[in-house]
Amino acid sequence: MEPMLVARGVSKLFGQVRALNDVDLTVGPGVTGLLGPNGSGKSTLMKLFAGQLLPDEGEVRLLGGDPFREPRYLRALGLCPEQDKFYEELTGHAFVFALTRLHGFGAADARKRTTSALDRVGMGEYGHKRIGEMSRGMRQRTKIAQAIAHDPPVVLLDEPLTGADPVARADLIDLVRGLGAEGRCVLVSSHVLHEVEAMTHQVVFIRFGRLRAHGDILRLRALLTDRPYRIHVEVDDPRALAARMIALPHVQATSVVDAGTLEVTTTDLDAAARELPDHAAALGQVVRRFTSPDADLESLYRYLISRV
Amino acid sequence: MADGRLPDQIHAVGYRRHVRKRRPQRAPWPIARTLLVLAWRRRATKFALLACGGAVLIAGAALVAQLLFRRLLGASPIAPTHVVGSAQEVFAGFLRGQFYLTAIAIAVIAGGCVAEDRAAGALELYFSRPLSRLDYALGKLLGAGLVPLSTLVVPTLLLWLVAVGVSPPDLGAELLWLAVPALSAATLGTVFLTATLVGVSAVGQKARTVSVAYVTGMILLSAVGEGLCEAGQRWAGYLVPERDLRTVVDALLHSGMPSLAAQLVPNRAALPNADVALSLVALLVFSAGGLALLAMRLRREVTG
Amino acid sequence: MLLSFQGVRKQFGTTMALAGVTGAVDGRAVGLLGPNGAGKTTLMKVCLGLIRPDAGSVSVMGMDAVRDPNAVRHRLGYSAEGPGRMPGLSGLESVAFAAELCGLRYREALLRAHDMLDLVGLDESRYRPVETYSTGMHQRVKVAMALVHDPDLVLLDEPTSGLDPESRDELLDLVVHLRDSDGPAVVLSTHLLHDVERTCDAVMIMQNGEVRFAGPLRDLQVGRASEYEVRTALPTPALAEHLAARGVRVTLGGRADVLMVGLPDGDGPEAIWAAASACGASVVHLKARAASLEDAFLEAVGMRPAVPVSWPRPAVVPRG
Repeated sequence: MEPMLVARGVSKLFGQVRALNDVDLTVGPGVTGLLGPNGSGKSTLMKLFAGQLLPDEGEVRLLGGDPFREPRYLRALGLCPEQDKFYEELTGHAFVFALTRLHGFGAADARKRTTSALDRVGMGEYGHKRIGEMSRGMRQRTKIAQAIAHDPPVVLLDEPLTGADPVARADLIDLVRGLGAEGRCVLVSSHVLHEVEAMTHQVVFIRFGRLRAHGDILRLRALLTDRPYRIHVEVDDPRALAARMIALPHVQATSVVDAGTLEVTTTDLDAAARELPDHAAALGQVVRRFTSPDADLESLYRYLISRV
Repeated sequence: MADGRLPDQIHAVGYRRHVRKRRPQRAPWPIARTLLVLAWRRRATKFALLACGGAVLIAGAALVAQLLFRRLLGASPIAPTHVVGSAQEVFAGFLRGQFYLTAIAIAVIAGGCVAEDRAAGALELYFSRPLSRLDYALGKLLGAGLVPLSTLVVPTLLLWLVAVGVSPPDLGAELLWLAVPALSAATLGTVFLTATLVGVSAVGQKARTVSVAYVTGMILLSAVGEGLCEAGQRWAGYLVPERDLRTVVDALLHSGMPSLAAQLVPNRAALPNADVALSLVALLVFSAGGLALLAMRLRREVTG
Repeated sequence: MLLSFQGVRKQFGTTMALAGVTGAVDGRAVGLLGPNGAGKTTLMKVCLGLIRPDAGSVSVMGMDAVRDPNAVRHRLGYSAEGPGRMPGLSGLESVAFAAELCGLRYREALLRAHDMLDLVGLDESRYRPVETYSTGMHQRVKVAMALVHDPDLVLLDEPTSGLDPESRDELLDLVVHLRDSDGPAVVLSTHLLHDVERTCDAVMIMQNGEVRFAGPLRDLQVGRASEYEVRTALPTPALAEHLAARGVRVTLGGRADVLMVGLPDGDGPEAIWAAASACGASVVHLKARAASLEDAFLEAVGMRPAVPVSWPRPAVVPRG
């Protein structure tokens, strides 16, 4: 299948400031998280895919077309930009309706789409509120409604959760997952890593304007072979288990954290997860807790963003 | 993978080799560009260019007014040659004033071009790169030369185009020929100013000192030359660069339009060829002196 | 061969900067070591063709540096010692300009300059003029300038001078990183042995404009009997006596409870343990001490101060 977003050797400078340098990337259907420190080029990449910028070098493809030179491809794109700028006097409904009309839908069709899009983001009841009077979270939802009202196969969401309250966040995370499950290509940038983790396991890291890593979170973590995993295990007799675990070839160290907790350092999380319960069972012990504090996105991010 | 995605990958960080994408460029251009970019960041540069631009506008306005006046009156008996003659005089006056303005501009903009490199210890940085002394000299001359090119040559060309554009049909041919002396003067002036300034800069240590020394030097040379000349020492006239320039222009004007030139510059109608040649030689000697200073400096500071 | 010199001489006035340098060295990271005024900087400039030697031939990566300096400079990066800078430019501009002088196009040069500044660890201050930089920042910019055109060899002249410990660590880490990468080989000039010991796999030692040693670092250390550093819980002269009696060379360490024990070739530390148990000394520290570069260096420049002394007969009664 054709990847929906493609960047080939893309570089972009703003004056002397480097935004992107030689980025090669393809994004397929489903939700993909776009991660990186501030100023690493996330928003620039989004704008390039949305045809708002022209790359200095390389090329960008949206469903096989050039989004900058062939604007008709932009019909396939829904964009939720980062800036919080609106026509403050319009109601949410009127705003989404107007933008949907711009995509070439008739009035009746556009009205229907507007209503269903606002319903979908949970703004159905507040569609007739003026945008100027909305809370940050509602404005954010309206922005997302505008991005999906024309039913685009590609959706770009730049920091869609900023300003939303916890309930809204949970709703919006569900919404994003839903969009991905429908087979759309959804590219989401965010700083809040556990929220990205809740949306998807597919991530792209950018650092210093260069592509640092892309792929599945756990598989990427496994590629960091020089960084062993720590596992915390809660059992009755950690010392007895420690004695058995240290004999395994992939275990580098064991240490008793407190009376009931054993920390195992291993190079192979998979093997440890398979073998540890057996060893505990052989000792007649029950594993009450098994956690790996550095197998999540947060620690992956830390490792990938560090200088060397 | 089946869906065309790239496989999961962590890209290496740290040093990476550079794969050259485009063919290499020659070194003089970045040297010249950097010189001008740095100059543009200083306020003095903008003032100098503003002054030059203002002078061009005034000259342009005067020229257009005169030619339109002449055109409206038609070939009336009210001394047409005087009107056209004053158009020529606008050119001459413009070139004369602009020469000194440009001397100030180039001193302000490019005064530090070599001096600052020397003071900051940059020459070693330049020549540890694949760069010949010629590349460096060309870069600095190009950068400095773009100043008089844009304040002297280009405005002259523009004024001439405007003059030809609005001129009455019967004067078209005469104004066309005017391009040759005017542009020659502008070009000669450009060469002279660039070479001498870069030469002075190669001797100095600080940008400001070079600028001040250059402008005062130019004024002193002109004043002393003119003074001695009037006191009967004719040879001293050749020391005045702007006067040399005028001599060459007059000669060119003469050879193209003897009748017109005779009316315009009656007192110097019969310019001896030797005078013209000596003026030209004087200008070239000044320029060569500048280049020689630059060459000497580079030869002393950099080996190989 | 990375660098090879044959009878290179250079005289400045009455000073003989290079008095017939002959030697060849190869490696991924070469330490150019010597006291101040040994001719290290002059030798580097000769490699670049910045200084034409009075006599002799210089070959850099197989190229004749005297006859064809431009070809050499294309493949060489140089970070000069001292405060030299491109006047008026910011750090980023300096590095990009350096790349442009080597033929890179403007944008290519800027992107590459950003990469190099990320590598050397210069943050947002890259947009500020170099005049405002601290020594450490300036040093980073100079190294970035040396690397920016992707040379095959970089010459770093005293890159750690004037740096605080943290910056110095980072810089030495960078040299190690370059050594282990597929990037340029490094020649690191320094008068600090520690820098070379930590980063280099080959060394060239200079003194008074001459080469005293050139070759792999390990060659500097061969042919030395294995020496052990031994510390006992209490000062135990009996141990020294015991060892000396067996014909082992024993030297006093810096402290009363530390002995330097030079075993004959082929012998392991068993002799030390046996002696310790024989005289009841409790050894709390025993470590083979590779001949340090410092010894070799001092020896190479003919200034070895510590002459091994044999242990004098002890006047103290052994602990019973």
